[in-house]
Amino acid sequence: VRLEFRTFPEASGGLLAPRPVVDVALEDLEAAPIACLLDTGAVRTRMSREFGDLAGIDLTGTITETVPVGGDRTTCAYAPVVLTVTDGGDEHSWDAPVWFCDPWPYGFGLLGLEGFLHHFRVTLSAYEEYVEVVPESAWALVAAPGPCRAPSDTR
Amino acid sequence: MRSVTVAGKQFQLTERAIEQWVAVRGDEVLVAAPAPRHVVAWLAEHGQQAQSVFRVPDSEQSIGGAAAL
Repeated sequence: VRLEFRTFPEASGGLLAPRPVVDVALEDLEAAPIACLLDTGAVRTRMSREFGDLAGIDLTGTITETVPVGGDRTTCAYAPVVLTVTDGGDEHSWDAPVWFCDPWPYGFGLLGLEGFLHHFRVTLSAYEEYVEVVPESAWALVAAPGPCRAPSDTR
Repeated sequence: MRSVTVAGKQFQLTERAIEQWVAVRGDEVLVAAPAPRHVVAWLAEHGQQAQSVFRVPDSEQSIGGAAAL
């Protein structure tokens, strides 16, 4: 799956710096893939709790943690979910640990090590402004031997 | 009008779309609304498939400073 960097408008009328954004469908919300910023510095994958509620994910009684995000503190609830990424041609789904946070200051999700980067071989070119993600298990079929992944990691 | 580029396609946004949640597909903005639930409801009601859903930021600061955890 190869995706061009995302540029957003600036309030002054210009454009913000292009960023590596991956659109991810959460469970049955296939019609509304959520824009997620690729964050190689983040351990967790996080998004607004509102999307978890919209997807019908039961977050009652699950593990929670309170963390600083964007200068504020937010409470995030954990749930194992199915995420799907596509570029219109290739499509990949995988089981992902995701933390649904409230409040959530961003207009996008964050894709971290757990939930995303553990599952994909990522090529990122800021110069050419694209990001390419290949499932690790698929990569292992055509590349040199690497760490094995459980079958449940990709579907 | 301002623009946003998604997957190499440039979308034109009206001023009132800033800070709104939008759903985009192809070269069009399907819907702009105050909250994700409004966008998801609109997509379901109209049987539409979005390429991407996000809130249009008003500044670089509203994107930066993401969590380090």
